[in-house]
Amino acid sequence: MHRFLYLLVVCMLHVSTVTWAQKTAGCSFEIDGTLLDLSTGEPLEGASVYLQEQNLQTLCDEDGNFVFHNLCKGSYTLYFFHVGSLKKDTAIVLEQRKTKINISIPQDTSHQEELIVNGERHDTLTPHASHTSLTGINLDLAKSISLGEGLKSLPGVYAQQSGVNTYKPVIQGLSGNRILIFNNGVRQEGQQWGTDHAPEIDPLVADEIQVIKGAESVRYGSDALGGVILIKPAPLIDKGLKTEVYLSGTSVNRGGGASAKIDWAPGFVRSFSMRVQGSIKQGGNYKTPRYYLNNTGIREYNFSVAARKEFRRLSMDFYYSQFNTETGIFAGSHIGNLTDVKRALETDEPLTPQSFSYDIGKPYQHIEHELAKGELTYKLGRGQRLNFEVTRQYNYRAEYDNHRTASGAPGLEFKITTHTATLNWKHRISSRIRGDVGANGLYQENTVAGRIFIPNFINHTVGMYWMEKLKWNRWNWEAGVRYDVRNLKAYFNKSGIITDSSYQYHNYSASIGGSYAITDHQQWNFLLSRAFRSPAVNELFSHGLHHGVAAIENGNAQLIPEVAYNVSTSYCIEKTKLRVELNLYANYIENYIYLHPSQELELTVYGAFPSFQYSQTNALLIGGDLSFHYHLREKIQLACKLSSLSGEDLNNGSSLIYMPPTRIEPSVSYLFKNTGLLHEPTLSITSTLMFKKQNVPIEGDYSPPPKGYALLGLQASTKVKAGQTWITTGLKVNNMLNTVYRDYLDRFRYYHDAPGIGVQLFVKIPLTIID
Amino acid sequence: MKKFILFSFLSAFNLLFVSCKKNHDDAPTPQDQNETELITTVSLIIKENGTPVNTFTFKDPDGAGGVNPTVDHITLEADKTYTCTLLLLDETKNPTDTTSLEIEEEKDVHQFFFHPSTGTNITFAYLDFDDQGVPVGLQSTITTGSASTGTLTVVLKHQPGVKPRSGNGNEALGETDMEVSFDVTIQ
Repeated sequence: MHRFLYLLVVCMLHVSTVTWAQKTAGCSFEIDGTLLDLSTGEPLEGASVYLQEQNLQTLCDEDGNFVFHNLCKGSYTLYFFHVGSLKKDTAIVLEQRKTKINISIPQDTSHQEELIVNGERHDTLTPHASHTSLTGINLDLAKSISLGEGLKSLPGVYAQQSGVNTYKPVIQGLSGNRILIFNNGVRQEGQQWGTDHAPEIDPLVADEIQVIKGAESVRYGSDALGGVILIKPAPLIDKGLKTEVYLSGTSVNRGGGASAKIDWAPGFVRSFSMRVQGSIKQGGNYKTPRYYLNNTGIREYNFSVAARKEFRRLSMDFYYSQFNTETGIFAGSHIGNLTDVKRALETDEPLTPQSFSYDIGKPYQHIEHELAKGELTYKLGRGQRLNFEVTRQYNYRAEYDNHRTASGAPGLEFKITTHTATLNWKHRISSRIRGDVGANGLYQENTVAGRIFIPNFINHTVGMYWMEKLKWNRWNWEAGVRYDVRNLKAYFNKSGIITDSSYQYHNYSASIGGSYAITDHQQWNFLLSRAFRSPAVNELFSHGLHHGVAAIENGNAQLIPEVAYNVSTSYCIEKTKLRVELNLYANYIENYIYLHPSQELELTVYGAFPSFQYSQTNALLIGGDLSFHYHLREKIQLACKLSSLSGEDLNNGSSLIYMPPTRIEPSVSYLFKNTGLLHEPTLSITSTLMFKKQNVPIEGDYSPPPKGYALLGLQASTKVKAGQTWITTGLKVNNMLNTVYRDYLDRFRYYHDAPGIGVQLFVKIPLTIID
Repeated sequence: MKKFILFSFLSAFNLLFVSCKKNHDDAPTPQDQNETELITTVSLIIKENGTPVNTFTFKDPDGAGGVNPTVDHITLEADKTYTCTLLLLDETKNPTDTTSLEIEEEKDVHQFFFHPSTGTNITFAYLDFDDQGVPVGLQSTITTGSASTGTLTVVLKHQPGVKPRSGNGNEALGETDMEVSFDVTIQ
């Protein structure tokens, strides 16, 4: 069984629907099967099938089909795994060259905990896009830090930072308004335009975090020029009462977190399941190799509730979550003017004495995010279904700073409420062609108080989409189109006189992609897509001084939508010893919106400031991500991740600012032998080599890119058997040599060093109370 | 029992919906942009033996961005001693807000700094101090030397929690609330 679990984990790392079956020499018999849900007759897409005798594993495709090639005549045992279902001991006697079987499995959860323990689950993916996922131990480790910071470990993913607590994900060089984050299927809507506004999501709700790289607008909506991040909670259980407790600690800020989850499917209410989950987190001042960072504490509390009721064809889902945080901002970074920036740049260490404390003083951000979702799904049979979803999000952001304010009121305050509705019809034209048609609408209202940096606005968006998938021999094709219309009305009040201005943007997105299974172990994917993004409200209307970055930013109401043309291709090979995935991309963005520095300084009562105007250019981003795993010997695994890209401003013949530098992350792992008590004990030495950013524009930054750096780390993890359950525990040492460095994409590199040595530790204890 | 549990769930969800956070502000009626605190006017009131001589003003009525500020040229006589009072106003408010009065109240966290450019023969000496005896700078003595020209930069630092509790203050700490420069002629 342990061997199987190991195999399962290896298999989870796969990101393709290609049959992953090891060739056995000599014979040419095959098992060709179809797996269906016993109660609904639906194909169990993504279920895994394990052939015990040959130690082979494969996944079911969209029609529930699976196949094992190159078998010899004989008797075999098949195991079937699906989320929430398991059936074992299906004995097959292989006498014919091609044996066809049809299997239906009931909703039985008796062995589900083994999948839960692994923290991973199967998912069939769009064949053509380039995906990467954070699952298992790496996700458990990432849960003790912030979402954006945790995602940095994935190839092609980076983070734009404003100090130690604020991380915004960057996918293949694009961030902020150009990437979308879906929390449990709902597009996150907050004040994502701000460089110092981190995503308001608790990573502890996730069972998997998936990053889709490239312009995937047809499926996920306009604006996704850079990519999409999907935060996926574990599916609800079908039977029993289960809990999971997660505890974590981080030494670099003397922080700790705790989370608990209760899953319950009371047998007496038929097909009803629910989950309650909550978490708290607190941290104090971070320590860099040479000094503490005053006022970098964080406090967070979050909770969520999910419920699901199923009828024969209809299912109802409900989800509610709340995210609340108070995040300290390094006091030395909140500066009044350019003289203060220069003074900070001239000094190597912060000017004020630094010490440890859990206190959070000004400046700080107080953020609340609330999400409610209701969903109805009606199964039409033969894999077709109708889905209707309504959501509401409310985001409150208050920024308190040290500037003079009349009362205790925040210097800036934003409240944004978003309502959405989506209708989707998953249909099936033939066994080879299936697709989705749907429409969605969004209504959003934003109000601002304090220093008015962006205006109040009301935003309406309507979108329609249609996409089809075609399976043809070794090919999987997908093509889709989408049309979006956006109405934006902004309101201004100058000395009691209220004015408004309206804008309408509409455009289409389209994509075509394919994947070709070269062999059972090799796959080639490509994607061509067109996507667009309407100008965001800060790009149109921001006006005035941005204290955090000591610059005057002026919006430009004349901006037109950005249009991206994306070409990407990936090749992956999956063998027992070797796994390589290479992704190359080119993203041409017409009318790319950026802050153009003006030549003159603008004079204010705070002193003179550089001023920036939102402008447009044509941009070209070309890059590649590589991930490589090799089993040197049975127990030793070598791995390496590489990401590199170049961003060009074509109209001005210069480079784009804040593009991630080249990064290489080699690591070596030792996989210890499983024992009765320990499962998958692993010890890894990790390293990060960050190159100095070359080719940066001359203007727009107060200091040149910092020099490159190399970090060494250590990671250890195992599952420990405790009674009937397996406890997962992991430890990670970051920046083991206490290296002093600053990162190019950290806006606070003007003011302080990056954190020094720190230990992250977590324990995850699942408990089955009622089976 | 079953019904009771189901009922509890329904009530719990209902409660969640009712307790949803709401925005009571209305987008079409935005807050006045001028409601936030601003320093629009900085005046140096120069007196000689208690008799007003002149007032030199930096004025930016629309705040950062927009129309450029107007700045008076400071002209003083050589080899004289003056007193200087700083007056800071927010003229976007009605009635006008006198920011310098608030600074006087919060003098423990504020300090002005005066920087004549090199070769400008003008020196400042603080006349007012906070409760710890550290200078504030709303009142000061100006001593001019021989005839010269240059610039004078006046800086206001907001130093909550970090203003030194002894000595002459430290300009490097805190945040800049104001930094204005005047051209100066000593004749």
